[in-house]
Amino acid sequence: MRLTDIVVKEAILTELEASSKEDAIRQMVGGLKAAGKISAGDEEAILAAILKREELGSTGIGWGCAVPHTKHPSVDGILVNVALHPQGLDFQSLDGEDVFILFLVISPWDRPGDHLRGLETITRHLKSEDFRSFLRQSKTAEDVWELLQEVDDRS
Amino acid sequence: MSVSMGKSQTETRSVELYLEQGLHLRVCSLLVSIVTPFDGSVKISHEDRTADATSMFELLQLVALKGAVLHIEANGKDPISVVDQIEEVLTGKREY
Repeated sequence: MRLTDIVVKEAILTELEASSKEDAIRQMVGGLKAAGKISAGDEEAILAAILKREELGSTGIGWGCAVPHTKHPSVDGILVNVALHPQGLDFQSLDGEDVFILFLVISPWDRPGDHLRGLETITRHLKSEDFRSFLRQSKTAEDVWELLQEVDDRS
Repeated sequence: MSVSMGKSQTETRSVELYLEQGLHLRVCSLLVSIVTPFDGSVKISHEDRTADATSMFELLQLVALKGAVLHIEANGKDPISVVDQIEEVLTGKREY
């Protein structure tokens, strides 16, 4: 699976100014709606599902990264939005550190394999300190997209 | 199977994953919390991939679906207990 096949370029947010986890997730889901990838009618339900999942345990997986996610019947394939929070956000992460990089994932309802492969693809790249560093230095959605294309081409 | 090597012991076990959603993030998080206090090392393998079970990032690389056979190897003090706890999680006997 390639990052550029699942990330929605038009929804990428590089200057997230969210003051809370909920605010960040709301903006990221809103970005997918604005990009025409989810409908206004599904937006609140998707947001609620992602927040409910966070209540079960943070998706802040360490090294400044979080992967908030849910499954929803309205999507045919995995939808991912990337956001950068330059100031760092308290996400109640597993390692207690602030989050700077967010990959929000919405997966089809009944395809757990696709969901796991999506998370595998994202975390395989996030494991790389270079990737995280370059991502955090990205100023525009175009910068992020070029980086995603570069790492896709190398893997 | 348990092998003793001085004070450190090795326990290896193969377990069939019995979780509808496979080895998803919340399960990985639970495994990390079980393994982190263990005085030793734990590796979990699926097919040709092996993860240090204290690493969320590595566990998420395993992409194991229901029915997959996972191989657990624990080295350290009292490895049977930690492998027992991991088996309970992977076989759906422990709620989370």
